Amino acid sequence: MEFETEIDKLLASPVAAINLGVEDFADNLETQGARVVHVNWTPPAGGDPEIIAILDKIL
Amino acid sequence: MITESALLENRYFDSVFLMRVSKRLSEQPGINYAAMVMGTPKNVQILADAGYEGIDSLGASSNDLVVSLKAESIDAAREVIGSLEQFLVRDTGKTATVANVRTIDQALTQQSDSNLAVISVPGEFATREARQALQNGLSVFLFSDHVSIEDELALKLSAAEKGLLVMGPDCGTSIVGGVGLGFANAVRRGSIGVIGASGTGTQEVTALAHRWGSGISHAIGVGGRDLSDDIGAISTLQVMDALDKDPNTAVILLVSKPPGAKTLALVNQRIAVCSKPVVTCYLGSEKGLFPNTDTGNVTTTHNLDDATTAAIRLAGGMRVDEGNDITPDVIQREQSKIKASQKYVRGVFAGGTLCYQAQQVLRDAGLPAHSNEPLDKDKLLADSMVSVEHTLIDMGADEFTAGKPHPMVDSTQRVERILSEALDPEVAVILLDCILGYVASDDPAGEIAPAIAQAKRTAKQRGDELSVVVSVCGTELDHQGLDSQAALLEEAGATVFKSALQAAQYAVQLVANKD
Repeated sequence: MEFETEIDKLLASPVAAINLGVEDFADNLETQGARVVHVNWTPPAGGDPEIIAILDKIL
Repeated sequence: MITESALLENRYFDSVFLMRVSKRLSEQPGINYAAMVMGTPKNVQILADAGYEGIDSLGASSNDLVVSLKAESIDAAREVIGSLEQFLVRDTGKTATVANVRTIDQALTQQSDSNLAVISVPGEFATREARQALQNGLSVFLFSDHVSIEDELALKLSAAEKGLLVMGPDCGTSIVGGVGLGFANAVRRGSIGVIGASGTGTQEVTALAHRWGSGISHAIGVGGRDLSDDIGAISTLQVMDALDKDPNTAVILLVSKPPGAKTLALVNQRIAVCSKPVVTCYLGSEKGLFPNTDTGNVTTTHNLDDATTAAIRLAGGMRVDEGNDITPDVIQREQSKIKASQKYVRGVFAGGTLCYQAQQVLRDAGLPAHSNEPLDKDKLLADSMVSVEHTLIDMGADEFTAGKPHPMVDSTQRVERILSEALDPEVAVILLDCILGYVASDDPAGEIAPAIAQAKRTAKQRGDELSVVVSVCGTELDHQGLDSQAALLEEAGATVFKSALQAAQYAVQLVANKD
């Protein structure tokens, strides 16, 4: 089926999520039968905003 | 009382996990309050402002865990801090964690057909992660708050360019194709499509639609600022386009605070060419500004119940009557128990939108209420901790959730507030909500029921009759159990409604003509 936008496709497809942050949200999605990959997220560059800004420019 | 703080370097935990741990810490002997946050500059500042002394001198970074205890003695505090590790263990066996996945890119290698990023990292980092998600072709459910309006605009413009969607920021609730994201209720699928610029407003209309015999195709949160003129309804208009095309949606229901003037014109233009009927509910608007009307394909409503009822009708259904045994006799009997000196309603809410709607009910009845999140700026409380006259408090606001659990996850602070309101002999009614659903507390009614009974006893001891009115937001499919939660509240002596509007209207009836 052709979709005009990714949003149209999202509403017509099963949720396949990537979860960053609250782990309960990933558990909750799994409980409902949705597919989810939980990212073991931590603040980038130890949370140092200056280093993050430099990384963002390089990458 | 003393304050003792500690820092655990390079130990990152998510905010909901820390809420649960801080609750357990505060239950330890000799501990009065416990705050646990990641040491972001914003969190450190909020805790320092909240009177946790010595926090700013710890030198915390965003990757460090900050623990601060207010305790009866230094020994009690140090004993808990010494045994912190035992509290920092997660339940095992129920998590989707893949230990080696640390970025969105890595997650995509595990699940290449991913279509959505659910982001609830601290606000300082949320924009960066959302941008990366969009760059990877993912729409975003952005639960994180403290995202600047400039960042919100940039993210939404970038998303729109790619045909992607940003739900949020500070988006509490969505239901995508029957799957609840964040704090959502379990509802049957149906033909009402919801666009929600308010978290608990979305929960209430989806739960009501379910209980009144209808169902939800999708309920898409767009963030509370989406209909401001700063953002211009970017996500709202995208979702309206999508729901207009969606074969499972027959009617579109839009719930928001009143839009900015320019944005209202934009939204109205879009609605005028929508192929489906649209119901709008702009909460907080002056009565008469958006009167209940049917014009062309738009039905304007003034509260969540009327909005849901209209959507059910336009979807071709009929609202199932749940029954209501609050007769005029009951109201008169309750009124007669309340002394002339008991004049005021005090609302202690977990749901911001439900607090907002209740303020609207009181204002429409000529009883404007003070609040920490007021409808009208001149009703802003000088001190959120101190109620005056009619006061409706949003306990989910920043000043209550800094380093402490949100009231939908844990009712400790609400319990304290309920008990303190009961000490005021001018209070006639305590108005509460009880929100069920995914991620919310497993037993919200059980958490507040003892406080309800205690509040009534406190009033009785001084010869007063205190009325406690509670609305339960949820469905029989929610894991907490709608009827059993309502029964707990009734056993504690509360009058229980399954609609926040009806509860607020009943509270008003009890105090009407008191001035």
